Amino acid sequence: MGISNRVMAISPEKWETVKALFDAALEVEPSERFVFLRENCPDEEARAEVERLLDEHRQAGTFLSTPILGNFSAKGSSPPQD
Amino acid sequence: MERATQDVTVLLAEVTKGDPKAAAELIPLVYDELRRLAGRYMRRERANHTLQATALVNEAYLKLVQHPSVDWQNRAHFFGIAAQVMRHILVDHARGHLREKRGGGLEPVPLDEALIFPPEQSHELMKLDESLDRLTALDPRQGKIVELRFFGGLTVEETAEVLGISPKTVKRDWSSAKAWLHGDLKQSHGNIAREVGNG
Repeated sequence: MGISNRVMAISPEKWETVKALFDAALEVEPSERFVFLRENCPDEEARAEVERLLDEHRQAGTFLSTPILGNFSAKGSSPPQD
Repeated sequence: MERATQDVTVLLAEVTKGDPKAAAELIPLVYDELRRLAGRYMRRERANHTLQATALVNEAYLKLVQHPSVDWQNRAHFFGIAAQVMRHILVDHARGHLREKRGGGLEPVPLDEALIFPPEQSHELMKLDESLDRLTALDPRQGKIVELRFFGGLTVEETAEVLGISPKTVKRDWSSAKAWLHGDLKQSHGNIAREVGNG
């Protein structure tokens, strides 16, 4: 893939943990997420990844929210739900 | 074409049972049909390409599966495969367009795909496709969810049906997948131009 300065990739095993924490953190008030993660995630690498994802989530906005060519919906043309 | 239709019907039944080989055999049939129909649509209509894509896949489905009543689960699985096929078609087209821009047009973009996807978005699409491959390596289910939702336009409920998981799981995976892809796209931006240049 060529020379890259991308951050160390998270392992698939840790990814499940990261996903669960990311999801849980989104349920928590933004101002309380910092403490929430420190209380619920002792693994520093996983926690850093969750915080990185929360940051991306905030920046993402409408990223990917519209399907690339519209709807192939099995039920007929209905607008995307997300 | 009749035998092909029968093959597709049998294959669809196998795919519904979860046979990955059947899905692999079905894809070329769907691909050919979609390409053929895409060409016909492009020559006939110049309007909103969003509408054309929807009509295109619906027509391909109806042509290929001539059963009086096909249950919803089969349709969902078909559209799941169509999402995968459309991704391949679009990425191939984007790659061809980028090659044209660089190489002085030695390899003409196939006419039947020329108008499906806005050429100026080819670079972005290539980036996304590669990021999606990386996400799939990390989490195959999430990669599939993004493919179904973004390339296939399936709703959360339809995606859940195709993958046999709950809508809640789809929403969760979709949410973290978008965040991950957003970050990966930013990181890969500097490398992508070089990789595309190496063809």
